[in-house]
Amino acid sequence: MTADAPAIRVTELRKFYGDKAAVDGLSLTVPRGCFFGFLGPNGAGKTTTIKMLMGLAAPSSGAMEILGFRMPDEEIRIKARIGLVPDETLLFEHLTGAEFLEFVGRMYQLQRGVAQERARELMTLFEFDGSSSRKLIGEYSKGMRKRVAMAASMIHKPDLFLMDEPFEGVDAVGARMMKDLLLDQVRRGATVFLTSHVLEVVERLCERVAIIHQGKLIAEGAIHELRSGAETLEDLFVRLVGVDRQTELLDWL
Amino acid sequence: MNPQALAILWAQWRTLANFYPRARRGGLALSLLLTAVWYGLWILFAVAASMVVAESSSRAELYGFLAPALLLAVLYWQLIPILLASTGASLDMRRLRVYPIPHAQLFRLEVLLRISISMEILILIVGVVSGMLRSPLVSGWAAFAFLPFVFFNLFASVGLRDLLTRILGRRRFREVAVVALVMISMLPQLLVYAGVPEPLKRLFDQTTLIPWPWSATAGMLAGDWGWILVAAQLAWVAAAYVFGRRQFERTLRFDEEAARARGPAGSRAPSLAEWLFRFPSTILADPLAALVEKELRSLMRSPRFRVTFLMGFVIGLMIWVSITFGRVGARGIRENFLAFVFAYSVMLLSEVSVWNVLGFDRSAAQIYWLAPVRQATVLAAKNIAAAVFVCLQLAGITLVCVVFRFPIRPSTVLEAFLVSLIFLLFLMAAGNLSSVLQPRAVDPNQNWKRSSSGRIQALLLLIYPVLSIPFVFAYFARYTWETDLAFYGVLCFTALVAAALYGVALEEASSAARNNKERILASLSQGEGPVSN
Repeated sequence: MTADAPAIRVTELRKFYGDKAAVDGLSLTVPRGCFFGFLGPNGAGKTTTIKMLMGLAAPSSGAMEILGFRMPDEEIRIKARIGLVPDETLLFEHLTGAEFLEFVGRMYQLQRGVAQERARELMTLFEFDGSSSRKLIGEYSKGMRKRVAMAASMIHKPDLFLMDEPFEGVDAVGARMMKDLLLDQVRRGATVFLTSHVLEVVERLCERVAIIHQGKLIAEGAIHELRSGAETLEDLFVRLVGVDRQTELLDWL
Repeated sequence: MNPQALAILWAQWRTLANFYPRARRGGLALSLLLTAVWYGLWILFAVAASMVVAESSSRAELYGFLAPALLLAVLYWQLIPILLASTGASLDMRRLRVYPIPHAQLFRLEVLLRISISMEILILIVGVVSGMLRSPLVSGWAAFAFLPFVFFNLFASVGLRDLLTRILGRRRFREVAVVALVMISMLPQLLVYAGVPEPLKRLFDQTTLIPWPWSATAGMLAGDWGWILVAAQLAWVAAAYVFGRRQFERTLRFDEEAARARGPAGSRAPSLAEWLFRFPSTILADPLAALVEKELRSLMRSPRFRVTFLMGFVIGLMIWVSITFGRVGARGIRENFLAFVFAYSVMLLSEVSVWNVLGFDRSAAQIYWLAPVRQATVLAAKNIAAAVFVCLQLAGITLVCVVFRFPIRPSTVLEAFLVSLIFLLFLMAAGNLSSVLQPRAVDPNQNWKRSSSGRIQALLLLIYPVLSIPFVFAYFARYTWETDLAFYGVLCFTALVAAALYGVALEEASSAARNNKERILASLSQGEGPVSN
């Protein structure tokens, strides 16, 4: 039964690029209705993992189960139930924001009228008013592109959101609104799985986190369980991932 | 058609509807004119085909015309995308595969889009059908034999495109694959010029007994609806469907990043290439030297550039060797063989290094406006890098000619080098202007798309012959006065004109780059709709 299954369950997931393991034996369970942060330094394997969960990259080995469906065998059923904000926003430059949202709605089999109506409402909610509603996406700023990608991920009311750096480039007001919206989605029972380098945001939003380093899972659990004493999430992250500063080499600076 | 497919088509229509009102009217008018001329020519061919079919005096004569014509149609349909370095309109899978669209639906759409690379053949088919309707020899119903022929080609075209896309996505392998494909596609031309070898002739005579898609279609069009031909046609369509569907499915699952990672990791040890990259710094001053070095590295690491470089080398030699030393080789061409090969290679290489020099830099191009460097210096650096690669290519061709003992002399090598470099100077003068006036984002990893805009492609049809005129004069002067002095005199004058023109064009382009920086940067970061061309 899919209703009892966790939002995401990956077992011994591996992805090799040539000889290099981008993801190396990752096993992870994300419960339903959870705001889950997936953290790691640059090149740790976060984007590769999220791409595999989205069905954009095939794993070299391992198993993935999303909302109780097996990826990639039940790919279409999974895709119909997830909302995506990829790292590189896969937008169509010569459509306006409203046209793009309507297009995405129809990709998820919404009736055309419903897709138009939801697109209009989302455009208002994400503050694409007046002139910006007539702009082509190619003319949008980076933050606007992220906002329209986020709006597109919501149009079909998904059960699971997979988001790769969703707040990158978004202004403070827009980011706040997006966070509130995501929290509302979690309250209604949806699951949010996001990657972000802004640890303060993750600390404030997420109940659970997983930290990945060099393709391997190095910590996973509720934030308060992982932290020790007055440690912040940033302190925890730095402690686990480690830093190797060699600023003395830059004596000319 | 299912709602998702309709939505994709709707989005593509909106993409075009949003794009064209914002495009420049002059460019649009020129594109429309050239499109009209191109398809007008094909309509003329169709009228001619209609007349031949209608006036055929026997079924054998009709078959004799249709079988080779349809073979050419198949070759055109399947090979022209390779020759034009463009696979026509196709679904942008990178963006569409995140949505829950059944693969069968995507495949049907992709098949429909394959019509975009076969409009010329469809025009010819209409011509043949109209001829059949007027012919007393065959029934108009026989024209239905075209249906399996068209479906065979559409399915095969999808399969071939997907197969190529995946092959070309693989690191290192793609360059070899492109050269191999181009060599295969050049075979018909080679056979025309060099003649068909006897063993191949015998093989072809035997294979006419096999009901190939073209010969079976021709037979059915000529009125032979025997069960062998019908069964053969259906079998070909089924085979093409299985091929196309399987290749399409594999492309949907294709992981380009993983494919790119396969193969040997690039050696970082000092090498000949590293010496070449560093060489400009020994004779030039920064920032020009740094810019040239960056350009040499970027171009050398761009799959699209490498493929074109190899194509310029291989096709240049293959075409001109076959023309020069084949059955129909003219004396004038034979004497100036190397100059022709060089000029042809320069033209091919200019596609990726002259006409849209900012294209490969895409959004990173803004560094040229941020760094304390003149735009003229940036353009000059890109031109120097292009000239370095042109010289390398010409040296390579010369070496092959020496190894294979083609009849070349040191004087002809010098002459060909001079002609090519002066020609390149002209091209760079025009290219600098086109690069800042018509910039276009290009994916350096994408092998199969044109680098310059459609308008520039159209202008090239005029520019190449016009820029060749001074060189024609030089050769004409030698022919008239029968002395090399006349040739080099005209060449010297041409070089001076080219240098002056280059200087003026560089300053103009530099000024245009300063004034239009926002438009240039916006153009270099543009993408496309759900269907890419």
